[in-house]
Amino acid sequence: MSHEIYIFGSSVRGEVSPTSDIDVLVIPIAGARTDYPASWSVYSPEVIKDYFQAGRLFAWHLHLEAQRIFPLEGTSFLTQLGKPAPYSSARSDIADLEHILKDSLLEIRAGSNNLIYELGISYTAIRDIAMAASWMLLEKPSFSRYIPYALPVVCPLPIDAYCGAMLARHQTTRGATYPFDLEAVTNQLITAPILNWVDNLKDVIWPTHS
Amino acid sequence: MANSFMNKVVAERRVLSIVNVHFHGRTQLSGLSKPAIELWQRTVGIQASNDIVAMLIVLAELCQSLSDRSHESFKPLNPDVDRSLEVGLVTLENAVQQFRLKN
Repeated sequence: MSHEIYIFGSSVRGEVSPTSDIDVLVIPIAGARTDYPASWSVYSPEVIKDYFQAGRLFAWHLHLEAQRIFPLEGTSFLTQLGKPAPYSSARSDIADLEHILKDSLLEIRAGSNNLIYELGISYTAIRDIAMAASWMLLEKPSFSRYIPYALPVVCPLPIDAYCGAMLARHQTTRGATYPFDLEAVTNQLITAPILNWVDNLKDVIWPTHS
Repeated sequence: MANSFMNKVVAERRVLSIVNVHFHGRTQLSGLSKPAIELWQRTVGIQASNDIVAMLIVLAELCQSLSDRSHESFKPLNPDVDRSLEVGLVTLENAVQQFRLKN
């Protein structure tokens, strides 16, 4: 078996809560075929190289956070890759995420039967928009789940509602059922001027955006 | 970056909508991850051997294949994902309706 195993995400940042899990990345080095847990992120070395060369935000996430836990000796594959190319697709990434967020909010306002799913999608879009924006707005990009509240343009969604939507996402992805006030989170999500916040972010990052 | 995620969300939404027209509130299917499907099974009392569960797992894999490239090293890319998804959705709808008629 020839692979490298890393951990990244909230555990590496020390952001631990009862709903935390461990983000695991596996890079099979010698093309070894092994069944890994479905929740682990398994990427071939070629795909990781592509991501680093393209300067994808995920590459920066790994470059800044990933800690190799196996093997313990020798220079890691990610270290050998060096720094990723500069992240240059923020405008299109934020546009795509804004689209996802708008669709999700529309579904929620229309009384979707998939309410928990849509709350989680809204959370994911808000978080990822903020992560992309952090590249331009902070000294270095942040991948904290709370980054929407650490930007110069703060997210207007009350943080309790944001955390409730995060728990909805955890139910979607992990089957975890931590209680939260579904009605209150839904109402706050559809009344907060979140799309205005996205526009404000774009105005700050690209003052002449259209 | 998010285009593939968007495709996955659109597909997952379609799958969930078929199930959740019949299951609301606490019994809604909240996602297509294995833990979410298992949670839903337990909540509504559907056996793991039920055809609905098997179809959800197949559809979940199809939706996932629309998204990022994790795990793709070891799985053959499915060139007929869209067609398989459409067929799967129809089959799922029939199975869910049958289940509701009997329960």
